[in-house]
Amino acid sequence: MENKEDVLMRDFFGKNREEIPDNGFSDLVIRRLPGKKRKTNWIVPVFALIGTVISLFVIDIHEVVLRAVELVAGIPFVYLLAGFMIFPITILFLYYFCEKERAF
Amino acid sequence: MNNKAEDLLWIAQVVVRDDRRAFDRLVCKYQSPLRRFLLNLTLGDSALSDDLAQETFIKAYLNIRSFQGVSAFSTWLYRIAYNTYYDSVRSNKRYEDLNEPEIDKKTSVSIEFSAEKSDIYTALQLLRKEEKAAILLCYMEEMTHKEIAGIMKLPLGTVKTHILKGKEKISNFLIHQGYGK
Repeated sequence: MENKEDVLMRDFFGKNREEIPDNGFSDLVIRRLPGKKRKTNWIVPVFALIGTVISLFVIDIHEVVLRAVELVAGIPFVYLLAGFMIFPITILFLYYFCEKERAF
Repeated sequence: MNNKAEDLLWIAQVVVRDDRRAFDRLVCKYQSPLRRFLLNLTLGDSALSDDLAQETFIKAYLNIRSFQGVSAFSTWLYRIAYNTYYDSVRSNKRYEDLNEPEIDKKTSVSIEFSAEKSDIYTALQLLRKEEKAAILLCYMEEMTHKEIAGIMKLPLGTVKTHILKGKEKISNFLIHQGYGK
């Protein structure tokens, strides 16, 4: 059973209990959150490097370059131009989605 | 979906997918009680209490994998907040060294709005750090003694003693101020 002191305390603190409006506080917290470093982040660059080194030994680089030049030379100029133009658009989209992701 | 299940779902999203939207929901849900608790602990210093609240949420985000779900998420959050406040007090001794005129100046803003608001800070000023935290968690945040013991990492008996002593001091002050008539 509550005594007089308890009633007085509950009444007093109850009257002083107020909701604090967010006013951008949660946005500020989310913006200040540090990016997390994943423990597996090293895997991709290390395996890419190993793959590149192996392929340099396995394939005939000279022939690959020659074929690549022949291939590019056979493509109509308009297609090549369109191929290059797609890069800025793709990068723009990627940048937009990365920024959107970072905001949350 | 009940409160605890909803929290656990959001926590799982943060842990598994590093989902900041889910963490944002947790922040929105708990910012008000947590900031209120810290505001009262710092005797109305809104700038400091908001800094401490931000630090609390960032620590919670960084250590969310260590949350085991034994206690409620709010209890875990309050424990971080209490430790953050305690560290802050220990590191700069800002509040222990405050003298009377500084307290008056600090609470004067509240006095303009409500006499009761200034009374609460004056009343809390009468208490020791542990008593203040225990009283606020018990009467303002309506937590059980067991939850308070978990937050303050103190034995249940010690918490009850802090609450008893704090209650005695505050109720004497309130009666003297004319409350409860």
